Amino acid sequence: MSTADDDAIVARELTKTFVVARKHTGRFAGLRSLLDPVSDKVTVVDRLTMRVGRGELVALLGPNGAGKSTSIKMLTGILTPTSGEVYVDGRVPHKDRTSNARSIGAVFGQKTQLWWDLPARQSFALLRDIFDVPQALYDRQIADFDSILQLSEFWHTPVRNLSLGQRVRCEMAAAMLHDPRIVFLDEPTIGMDVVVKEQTREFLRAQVQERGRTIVLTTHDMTEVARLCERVLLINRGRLMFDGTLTQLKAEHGGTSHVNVTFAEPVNAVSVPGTRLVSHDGMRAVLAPEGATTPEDVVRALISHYPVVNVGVEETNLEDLMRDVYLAQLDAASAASHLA
Amino acid sequence: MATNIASTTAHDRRRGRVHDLRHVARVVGKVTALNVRARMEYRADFAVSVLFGIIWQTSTLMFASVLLTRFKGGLGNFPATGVLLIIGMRLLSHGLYVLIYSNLAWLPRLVDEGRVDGYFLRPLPVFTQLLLSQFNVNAIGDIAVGGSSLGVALTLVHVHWNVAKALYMAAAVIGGLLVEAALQLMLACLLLRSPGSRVLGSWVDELMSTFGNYPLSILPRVVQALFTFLLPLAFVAYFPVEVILGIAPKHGVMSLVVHWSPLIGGLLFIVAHRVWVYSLRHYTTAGG
Ligand SMILES: Nc1ncnc2c1ncn2[C@@H]1O[C@H](COP(=O)(O)OP(=O)(O)OP(=O)(O)O)[C@@H](O)[C@H]1O
Ligand SMILES: [Mg+2]
Repeated sequence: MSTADDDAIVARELTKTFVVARKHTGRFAGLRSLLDPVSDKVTVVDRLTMRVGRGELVALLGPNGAGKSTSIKMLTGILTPTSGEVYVDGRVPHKDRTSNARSIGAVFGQKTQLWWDLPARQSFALLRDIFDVPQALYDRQIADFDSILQLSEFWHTPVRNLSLGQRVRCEMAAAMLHDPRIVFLDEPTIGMDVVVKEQTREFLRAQVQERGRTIVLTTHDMTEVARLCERVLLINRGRLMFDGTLTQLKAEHGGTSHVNVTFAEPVNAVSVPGTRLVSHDGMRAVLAPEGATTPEDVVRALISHYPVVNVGVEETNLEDLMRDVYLAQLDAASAASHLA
Repeated sequence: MATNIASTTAHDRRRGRVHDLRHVARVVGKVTALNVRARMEYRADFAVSVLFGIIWQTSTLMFASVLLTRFKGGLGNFPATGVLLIIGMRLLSHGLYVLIYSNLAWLPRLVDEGRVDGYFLRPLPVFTQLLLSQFNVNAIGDIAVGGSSLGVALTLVHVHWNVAKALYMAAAVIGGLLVEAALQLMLACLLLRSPGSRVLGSWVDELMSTFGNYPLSILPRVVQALFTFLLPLAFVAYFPVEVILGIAPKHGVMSLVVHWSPLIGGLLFIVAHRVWVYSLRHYTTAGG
């Protein structure tokens, strides 16, 4: 095992279990909960092992409730893990909170960390004081952030009056003001319009490429992932299911494309070697090539064996791929639990 | 990458200063000034908050003075002016408590909004940031009424003042503020676990303002014991005023306890803060 500090982030068997009080129902439910507290343990992050190198931009993906935010909260030191090890910039975040705060920045898109009553600009100045950022660095950062994120249009407005997209942009600037090495972004593009999303992506790319920051982000926006991240980590039910590039993910999960075919007359059974039948209703069928089979192979096989009137190849978009992956994992998980 | 390294060495040089109390004090000053300014933006709201504080506390005061004019001989072993001294000291302690610590009561909301999560990400104690989350304007009214009733009480009460007694009284006011802060901080720890315990906080608040204004000696012994050892209200103003008036017990354990009462607040607060630090380690955030 290597030492903890050559990678930006190291997690080994990281686990978080919440104790949730079980609610009594029926008569005197409140009283019974008080007298006879029953609690369940839910494991939300389950033996997560991962590494993120310095200067990497990684997406943490997974369906709702997968444990993304919980993982990020452990990596930022907000939550103490139930078990396992975690090192961020060589430190254990929840043990060394103050120094950890200096080397990381974080944005939780659905929550706010700015002073509600104050204009964002004043929040920035306060953060400068809190983090003791040298004035020259501060000025440079502010100019830098403003040039891409165009904050000066609204940074004199109290944060409570900002639109969601404006506020999140301010949050992002606030999180990076003290020049942190590692940045965590939990759904940073939530509520942003297309133009602002593109600005934000440009901003994040610049932060990685020019400033050498490490960024871990979560999002449900697949376009974002495709445009921004080389590497994705997929978690589901708290477990790491995949770690690699998007291309690898596409390859592993079969058909990056579908073949849509229309027959001249209803066909009883469609079967082409090296494919998976996605759907079939008499006159129409959708097939997904698997393994080494290419869409062209499928088209050729279909034409030579069936009364084909129309055939087309459709590239699967990332959104569909993700849905397939999530659903496949759900099936696998429920099959496993039936066996157990 | 180069920029990061350069700024880190600059940071390292400055790092020590963060732990420096002066730095924290400066941050506290700046944030408070901005918070006050932010509240002043809504002038009407600001004025109403101050006024409300004054009216609220004055009504307490009026009730007490009605009571005292009815019982000219005082309450129990207490002269009427001594009761006024209790009220003045407690109101001032409470006003200072509201000024500094009353954001504790907002903890559940701050947790829900994810603000507490944010406090973990800055190089200042979570507790300090919690206290700085907003400025409580009604503290101004509380302190104004507390200060003036204490002033009136001081002109009426028959005490031979000297420096030691004055310092003792000041310590007692701070001790009283810390008793209340310690109790609410303990409750805040409970709030971190279950937001439902919020009612407990207002209940304690209610108890303290209802019973805190009168000499506990008028209450049954059992209740006196409860307010000494369970909800240590007796330490807020009652015991110190007994000492100032020279009617504190002269012998036994209680004599010791009563004379050292200003210290109790500090001790309780230290214990409560320990519990707080422990609770933060077991903090579970709002989902999201
Ligand atoms: N404090 C808590 N106590 C109990 N359960 C919790 C707590 N926080 C989160 N959970 C549960 O843990 C699971 C994972 O939550 P988490 O917020 O990490 O999911 P997520 O991957 O971020 O989902 P989303 O995409 O919806 O943001 C959920 O089922 C959630 O209900
Ligand atoms: Mg989430």
